[in-house]
Amino acid sequence: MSTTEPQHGVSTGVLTAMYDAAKALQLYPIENEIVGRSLTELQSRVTEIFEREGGLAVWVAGNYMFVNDIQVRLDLADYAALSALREALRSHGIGRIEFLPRVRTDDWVAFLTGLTSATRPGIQPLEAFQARLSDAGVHRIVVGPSTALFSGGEDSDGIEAARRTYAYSVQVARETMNGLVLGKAVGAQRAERAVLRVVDQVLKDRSTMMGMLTLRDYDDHSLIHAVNVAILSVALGQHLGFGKQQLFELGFAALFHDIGKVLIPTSVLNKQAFLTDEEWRLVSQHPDFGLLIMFDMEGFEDPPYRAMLSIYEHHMGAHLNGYPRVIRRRRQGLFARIIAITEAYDAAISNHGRQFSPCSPDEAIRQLLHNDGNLYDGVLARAFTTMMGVYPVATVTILDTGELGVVVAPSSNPNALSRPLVRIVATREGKRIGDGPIRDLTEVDPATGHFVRSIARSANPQRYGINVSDFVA
Amino acid sequence: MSNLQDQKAANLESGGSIAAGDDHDRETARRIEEFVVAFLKDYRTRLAYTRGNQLIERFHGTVLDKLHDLWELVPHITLTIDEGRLIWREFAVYDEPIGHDNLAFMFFRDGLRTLVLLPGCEQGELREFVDILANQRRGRSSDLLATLWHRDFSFVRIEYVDAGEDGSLDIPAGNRNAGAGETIADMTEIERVVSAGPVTAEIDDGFNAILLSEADQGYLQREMDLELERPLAHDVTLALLDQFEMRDQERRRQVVDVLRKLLPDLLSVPDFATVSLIVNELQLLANKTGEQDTQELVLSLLRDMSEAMADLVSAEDEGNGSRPAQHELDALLGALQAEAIPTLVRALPAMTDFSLREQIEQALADLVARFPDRLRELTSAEDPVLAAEAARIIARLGFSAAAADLVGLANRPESVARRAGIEALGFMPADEVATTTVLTALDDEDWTVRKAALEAITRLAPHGAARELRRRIASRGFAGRDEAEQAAFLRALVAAGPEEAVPELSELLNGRGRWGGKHAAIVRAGAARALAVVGTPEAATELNRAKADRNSTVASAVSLCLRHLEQNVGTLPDGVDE
Repeated sequence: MSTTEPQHGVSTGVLTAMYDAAKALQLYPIENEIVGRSLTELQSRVTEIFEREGGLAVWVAGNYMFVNDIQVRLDLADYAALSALREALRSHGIGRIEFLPRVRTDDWVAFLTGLTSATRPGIQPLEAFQARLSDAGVHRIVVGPSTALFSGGEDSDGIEAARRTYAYSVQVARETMNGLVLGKAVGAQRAERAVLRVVDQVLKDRSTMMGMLTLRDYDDHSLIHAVNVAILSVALGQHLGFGKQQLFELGFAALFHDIGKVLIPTSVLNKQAFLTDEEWRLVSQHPDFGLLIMFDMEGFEDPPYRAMLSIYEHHMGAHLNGYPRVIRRRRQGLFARIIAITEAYDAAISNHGRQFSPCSPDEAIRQLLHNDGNLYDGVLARAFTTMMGVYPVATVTILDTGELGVVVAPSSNPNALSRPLVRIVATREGKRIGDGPIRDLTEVDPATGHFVRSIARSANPQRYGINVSDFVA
Repeated sequence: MSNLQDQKAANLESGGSIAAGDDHDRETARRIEEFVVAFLKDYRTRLAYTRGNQLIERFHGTVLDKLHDLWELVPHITLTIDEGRLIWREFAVYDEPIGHDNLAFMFFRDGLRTLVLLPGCEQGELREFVDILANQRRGRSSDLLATLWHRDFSFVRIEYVDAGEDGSLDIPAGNRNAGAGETIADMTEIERVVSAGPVTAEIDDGFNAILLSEADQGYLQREMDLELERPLAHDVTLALLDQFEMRDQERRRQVVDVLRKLLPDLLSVPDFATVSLIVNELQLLANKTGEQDTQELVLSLLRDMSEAMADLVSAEDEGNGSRPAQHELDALLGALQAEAIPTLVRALPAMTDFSLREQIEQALADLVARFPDRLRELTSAEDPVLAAEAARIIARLGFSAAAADLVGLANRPESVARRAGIEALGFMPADEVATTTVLTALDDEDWTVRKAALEAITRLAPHGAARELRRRIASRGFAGRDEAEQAAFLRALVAAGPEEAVPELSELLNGRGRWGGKHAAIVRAGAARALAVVGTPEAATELNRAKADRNSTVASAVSLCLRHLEQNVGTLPDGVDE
């Protein structure tokens, strides 16, 4: 290990070493060589930090992780490992870990195996973890709860903030598109602000922001679609480990991905029946229009070339078998491929398709997963699935207990993608509940060891008169 | 604002100041106030002085010292931003009248509500933060919030106002209790689920469920690298060219309009590769369609861009590698239109890169061949230097159709223009008007113009020139001209008519001047050389007469000339300079 390794590398290194050791302990017996090597590596990293800084403390605040008060910057290469570590800490209610000098191997084993164990329902996870460490005689690793980063300014009502961000984005999208239709000069500043708000909101509380996808309170479906695709794209970008600036560019491109449609008559856009050849020819040029229109937006320090390309390419297809036709050799860009997926998902679950009824979120996910790779990037489709979960937020579900529920958040346990948090909206007897309880489907009956509830299938909300946004947005 | 902030604001409104609070807080607030004062001085110094000024370093140093002391008291500095104040806890650590100079107002106006400084900010981010504020104040950045957000500092955090706080947004509200108490009518599906019993099959999530495989991660990392390395402007250009090629005339017009906006950005980088791609492809596509409208469309774009492109290609390498590759240069030069001519004409004289100069000259020659009138127009340019350069190029190209324009130039009030016009006329066929113009210039007030006229006469030997020269040589004023001018007259006289010049030359060499004495030695030597150029037996005879002249300058010149005549006729002897 170089003593001149940058601080960022040292901080990330100790966390990835922790993750590696935890994973090794989970997969192999403790005597295994791989376990031994990973623990040795971890000790080495920790020793280096002690020598550099005299101590080691790790803490989690929101989506940020800190090592000795220095924020750890995640990049794509280590995002998966560090996000898993962060989620594991959160699941046990751990916000802060202080390591005293000379942590023993046994201490590490107890700590790391504790991290990867499931939490027990009915017991405060942090207390349980602290008790576990105490029972194992671990005194050199001290865990504590999260503390707020700042003394003020945090919005305690996540849903309210998400709604405001959503409404602001819709308003900005409307202003921009109306301006372009009228041929007015359109400034970029408000659009940029809308996107940075979306990015911040997704970084702060992705699940709540995803709940906003169910809002259908605005007349103009195209605006809703634009904002939804922006939220989904930023969320997927975050899931993939994009930096903040990349998330901004992606969100901006996604917000305006269909801006070319302002030049298509609404009678064609809103037509419920099949389009004629001529109408289809017109609609399929909206990426072309979008590219040209973006040059009319003013106020950028640098021209938004990446957004322009994403707008132009988002229907091209992973193998360039979509539209517009490609004459000069190119590839569909990564951002365009992301938008292709998020756009398809939102279109599938929304109620403004042509002759098709919207499908449930889980069915939309399945459709994306089962595409043959021609239209959508297969790796990205899988990443999208793992981000959304098998039953995405806002899925109406029938539980095997006969209760009706609405998925409000994915499971905090990375082992249980199919066991999200669900708000009960109707009892077994079919009685509708207003502010029903939220149930964690990972809850186990201690008497039988079986899950208390499981999702039997998803359901059509309209069949049961449920307005999903009332429960998630 | 949160309830906590409302409480703080209320404390402040009720007269909270540094005097309130416990001793520790009071002392800390006082130190923070000192820090803010130092920060302000740093910020204002950057407004007043340029980067690198020692005062900036000094004031920034003071800020860092204050900060260093503060870290012993607080783990972070969180300031709430009011319209005109910065507030730490319940203490106003900055409070000035609201106005453009108020720092808090600058934050507040752009939506910032909280500023947090963390330990580590002194390692560079704080300095950059102050620079950003100074640039904002100077008007170089339009949106402070967006600028700070994009910069994404690690140790300088901001929080901004929530959207819709002013009530201007249509924010949807949920109603969970809508439908509460009602009974679901159709229970069929639910009954079917219940009768099937508890779910036992489990989706195999596994610990790696949310993790991409290593191969997937590698794929995504590569894709991200490709995305970040993507030549964006170039790829946008490819898209536009595709549109130009596959769509109708209206779309082509739109694409050209867009390229008209895009090209200046590309030229300013300079992105030679993309610019040369555009000009090449557009011309190819225009020719391929064969449609006049399309060709005219492309030409109009090239005309609009020609001046900027000419400026770029004629700029010599400043050592930063900003020069096009040869094929790019060829493409750009080949795309130039008449509008580039003035720029190239202006650039040529100062060019020191020989190879580039040659190529620019060739490009200019090609343009002039296509647009001769444009070069001719330049001889009437308001800028006399530009007009003079145009004349020189006309001469170099032998562009005889422009002779009338050169005559006009020769009559301008500026001597630099007159001289260039006369010089250039020396390379044109000698018609009557040109001859008259050149001969008239023999009496120009400016010696450089007269010299140019004499050289032109030497070159052209126009009809009637000998008589005019003789008249001036014989005039009283001739002896008063400087020696170089007199020698130039003699050369011109010989060129205008060698044999007819012998009497005058003999008179100068062997005759007497106005006051009875011989002419000046240098003039006599010049006459000797001119006689050698004439080279007739009569000329040789006159030279012999002066062979033993008492003046050594004259004798030496005569001797050299006679020896030269023995060997050659009609050229000046080597070593005898003019």
